[in-house]
Amino acid sequence: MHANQEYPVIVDQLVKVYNPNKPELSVRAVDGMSFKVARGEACAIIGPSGCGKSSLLHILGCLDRPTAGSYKLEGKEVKELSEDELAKVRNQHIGFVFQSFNLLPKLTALENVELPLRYAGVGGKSKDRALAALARVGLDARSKHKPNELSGGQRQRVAIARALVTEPSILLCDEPTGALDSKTGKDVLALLQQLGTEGTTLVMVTHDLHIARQLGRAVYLRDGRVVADGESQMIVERMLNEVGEEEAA
Amino acid sequence: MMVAETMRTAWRSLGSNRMRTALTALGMIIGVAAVVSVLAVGEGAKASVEGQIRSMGSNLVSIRPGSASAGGVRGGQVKTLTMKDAAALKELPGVVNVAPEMSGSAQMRAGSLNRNGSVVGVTPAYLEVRALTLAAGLGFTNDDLSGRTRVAILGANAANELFAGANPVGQRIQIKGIAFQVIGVLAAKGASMASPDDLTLIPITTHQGVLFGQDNLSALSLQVASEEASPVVQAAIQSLLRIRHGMRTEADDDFQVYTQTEMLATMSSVTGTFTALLGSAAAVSLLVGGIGIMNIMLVSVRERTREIGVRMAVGARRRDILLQFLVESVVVSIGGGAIGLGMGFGAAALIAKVGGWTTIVPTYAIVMSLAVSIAVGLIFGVGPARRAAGLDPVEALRQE
Repeated sequence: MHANQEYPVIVDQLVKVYNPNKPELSVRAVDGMSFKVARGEACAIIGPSGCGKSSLLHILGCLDRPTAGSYKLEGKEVKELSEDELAKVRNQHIGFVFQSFNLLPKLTALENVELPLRYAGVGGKSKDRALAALARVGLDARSKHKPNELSGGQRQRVAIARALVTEPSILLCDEPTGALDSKTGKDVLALLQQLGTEGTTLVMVTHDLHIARQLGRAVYLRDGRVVADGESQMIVERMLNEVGEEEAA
Repeated sequence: MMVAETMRTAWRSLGSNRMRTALTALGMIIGVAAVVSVLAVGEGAKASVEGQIRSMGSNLVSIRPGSASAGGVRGGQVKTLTMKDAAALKELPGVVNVAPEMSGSAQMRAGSLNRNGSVVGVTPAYLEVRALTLAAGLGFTNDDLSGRTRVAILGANAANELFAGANPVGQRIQIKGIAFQVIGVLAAKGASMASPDDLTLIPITTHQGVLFGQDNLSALSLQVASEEASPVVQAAIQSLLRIRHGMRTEADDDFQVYTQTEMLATMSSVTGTFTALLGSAAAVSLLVGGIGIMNIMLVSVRERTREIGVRMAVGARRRDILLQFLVESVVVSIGGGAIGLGMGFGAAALIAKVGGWTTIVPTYAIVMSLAVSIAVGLIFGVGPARRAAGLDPVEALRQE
């Protein structure tokens, strides 16, 4: 058994500096964050705007590399990977769920879900696997529809199916309900939570504290640092005390 | 990602904006069509010139008297070739047949009709050597030659003008006021180089002794055993004629010898130069077509920045993105090239039908236009594709 079996994500003293060579433009967006995410855990990343949520998300998603510190995904130090290896990690270990869905408009639901498998070089069975992923989000009947023929909630479900289809180590969600009305937002959240109970590791960046409360754990960021980390109800209360309801929302 | 998959993606992406794709391809379509039709006209011209030269006779070697030049001024033809030269040439190994000619021009009359035209004195071998056939009547015999008989064979036009459609064979005509009997009519060859349609042929001895009184030949046609042998025979002819004409070694030939191969080469180089000139003008439009493709691909990369970000987020490597855009531009250029090729064929057929020119689309033009299409797609597609592949995924995803 691998040493990091229980923690697919281990972040240690992570630093991200934008424009490191231009002092007047230089921004230290991530300033020494450390935390671990256990397998099967559902973890919210919260904090006021400018706290470093997006930068952290990009690094966790292997879209960007840290300036310093360590990020181990499934035991692999991401900083040492080549561009192609990063693409492979994104393909195999990470499922992205975006606020604005980011489905390709010209492809059907099924083809959108198949896309990661295509880049993985999965041949004939990709269709079956994509259909199975669509079935998991309850949309197998809509496989031939294009995104503009689906409702917002359905689009996000397709996006979730796309994120799940490669059976990734973590599902990275960036305000997944942000573009949805509260009813469909609840449905999508329920779906994500259900996936969590089925063993998927969930990391969700959100400014919606009601949603954060419903996940097991929350990491509270401020000024690029982890201020508090623990059981979500407790962390959300602390954040509300510190920054006030308005700023938090 | 597999190539077939990339092709499908490219096809779909191009298909989703058909108008733009069609307009982008239009540059290639016009360029390739222009090049192909120009090459077809050039190739057709070459083939028709070749056909005309071949129709003058098989394995033909022509000898003409040289030009007299005095003090650098070129004068008329010199009177160097004689019937004795012709007889001597006949004995050369490799020479199958010799047809000497004497030329002249005279007034001809048949009943109320008359014409001015070329009257050529020939031997019985002439028809065979020059690959001429009779539409009616008979050819000359050796008896005609030895008897200086007053008989004539008319070219198709000459027959028409003098007899207005009636059968001239057996009829009488007057040449320079002297009566001749028409014994044959040549089959029409149409407008071409050295067409016999306007000629009136008479025995060479009659030409010399009865009508014109000249001794020198205007031309000599030789049929050689094979086309391969003609350079050897050509050299033999030259040395024989130089000796017969008593020429010093440093003197220039007072005659000119052309083989059919040489005539073909000369004419080919003329039509070839012409074709190359027009073809390269047409090729400029291919360059313009390529720039059009590059322009649209750059716009496409900008428009699809977010798509590129999404593809990268789900695992596309840079080279997958590069390939995707490269394949798109190549599909446009090769599609345009293929359509242009088809239109080139169409244009060639139209030119042949309307203009009455011979047009042949050469095989190399087909291969070349497709190869050039691929090359244009690659050359002008690589810049935009590299730009797409070089995008930062974070920035690309942020794009609205």
